Parts: sequence; structure tokens; C-alpha cells
Amino acid sequence: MTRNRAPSQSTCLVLSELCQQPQYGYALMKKTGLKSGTLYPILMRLKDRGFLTSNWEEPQILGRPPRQSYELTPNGRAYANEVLAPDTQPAILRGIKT
Amino acid sequence: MILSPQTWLKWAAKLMPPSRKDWLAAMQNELEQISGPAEQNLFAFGCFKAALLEGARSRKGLSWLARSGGAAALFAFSTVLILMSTKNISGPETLALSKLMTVLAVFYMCGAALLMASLKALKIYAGIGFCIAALMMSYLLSAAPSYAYLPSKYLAALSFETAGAMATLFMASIYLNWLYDPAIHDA
Repeated sequence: MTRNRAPSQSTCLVLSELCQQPQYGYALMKKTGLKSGTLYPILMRLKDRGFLTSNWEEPQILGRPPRQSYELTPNGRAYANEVLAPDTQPAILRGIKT
Repeated sequence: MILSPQTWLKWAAKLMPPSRKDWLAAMQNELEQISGPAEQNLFAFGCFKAALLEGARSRKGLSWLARSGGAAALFAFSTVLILMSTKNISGPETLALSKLMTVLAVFYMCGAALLMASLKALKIYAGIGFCIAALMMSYLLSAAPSYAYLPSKYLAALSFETAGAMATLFMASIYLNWLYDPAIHDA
């Protein structure tokens, strides 16, 4: 059963960052200012709804473990464009580029 | 947050539902990218909170919460019965009634323990309890025997209450089993 309520401001922040490029979890945290306890449940919900994919990437620095990057799916981009449209997003997000 | 980041993630691993294990691996690997113990601790603590939330939202977590609530209610009711049974013992009649209420309280506490242990065992317990209580009630109402210190109407009332409680527990165990059984809902 899916619920169609409006996304939270935190979700909008995550969507606006992911619209620009795929991101790693920690980088998303830094750019959105959200803590991991808030960010990861949002990412999980977006992936459950088919708006997000995750990809394991080989580490750029030798000896480090692979990292998971997150990218919006075409459905996710359409959803982000819908919720981030100027006439629907909250006033606080109007300055964020999409 | 006096625990180490690794400890927070170890606890997160215990709480995270199996369907979310990939996310846990992502969190653990992401921790390696973070420098600074304070940052690492904040990150790991947040991951623990996320795992706690996901665990509580999972079917197993919700079932545990529902059963804990039911067990707590049964245990509280048993405690009230025991407290009532120890008050105003003024003669052999009230003594006999208080002993009976204590037995009932222990019986309900067994129900509370079974609710946490196993829904199947709870169904068996509630089914047997209901049958015994229903049989006792029908015997007491039909034969109206006289006992030395306990009027049969009191016993019939207690039997009726016990039969009702057992029927409720039986239906609750069936409902909880249907509601939170992954085999039924996860196609």
C-alpha cells in the first residue's frame, strides 16, 4: 500500500541534490545538511518506490572498500521535477537549482 | 554517544531487517570514508537510529511491539488480581476467593510469557483455557453446586471472564499471525 502524501522538506533537499548528479551517502549528507539517521530512511523510501537506484563503485583510493552511489531513475526524475516545481515546492527550497 | 562507531554499527546490524542488509553494508563502507572520530561517531549513531526505525517498521518489529503491549497488559491485569487477592481477607470465604484469584493471576502471567515466546503456543494455551473455562461455566450455571466457601455464582462469573479473556487471546494470536506473517504477505 503506497501513500501519496507530499514529500517532506528533507526529501525535497535530497531529490534536488540527486537531480544534479549521482551522489555517495556521505556527500549527500554534507550537501543537504541532513544526518545519516534522517538521510538513509529517505533514500530507502525513494528506492522502495522505484525513484532511486544504487550502484556499488570501486574505491578511488586503494585499500578502501567499495562505495554505494545513488542515482535517480527516470521515474525518480519525473517525481523530483513534479515536487520541486516552483509552484509546488516549499518557499525554503525556491533558491535551489534543479 | 560513548560507544565506538563500530559498536553502533554492530547494533545496527542486529536491528536492521534482512531485506535492508544491503543498506547496512553501504553504511559500513561509507564509514570508512569519513575522517575524524566525532564525525564517524555521529554518522554511525545516525545509522543505528535508521536501523532502529527500520527494525520497528518491519513486520517482525511490529509483531514484537504488538505482543509486548499485549503481554504488558496481561501482566498488569495479573498484578491487579494479586493485589486484590491480598486485600480484605476477613474469613474463609474471602481467603478461598483470594486463592482462586491468585491462581488466575498466575494463569494470565503464563499467557503473557507465551505471547512473547510463541504465537502457536499461545493459540494452544488460549484454546485449552477457553475450553476449560467454558465447560466450568456451563457446569456451574446448570448444576449450581454449593461449595463450602465459594458461591457458585462467583465461580461462574470468574469462569465467564476467563473464557472471554482466552477467546480474545486466541483471536489476537490468529490476527497477529495473519498480519505479520511474511509468508502470507510477501509474495
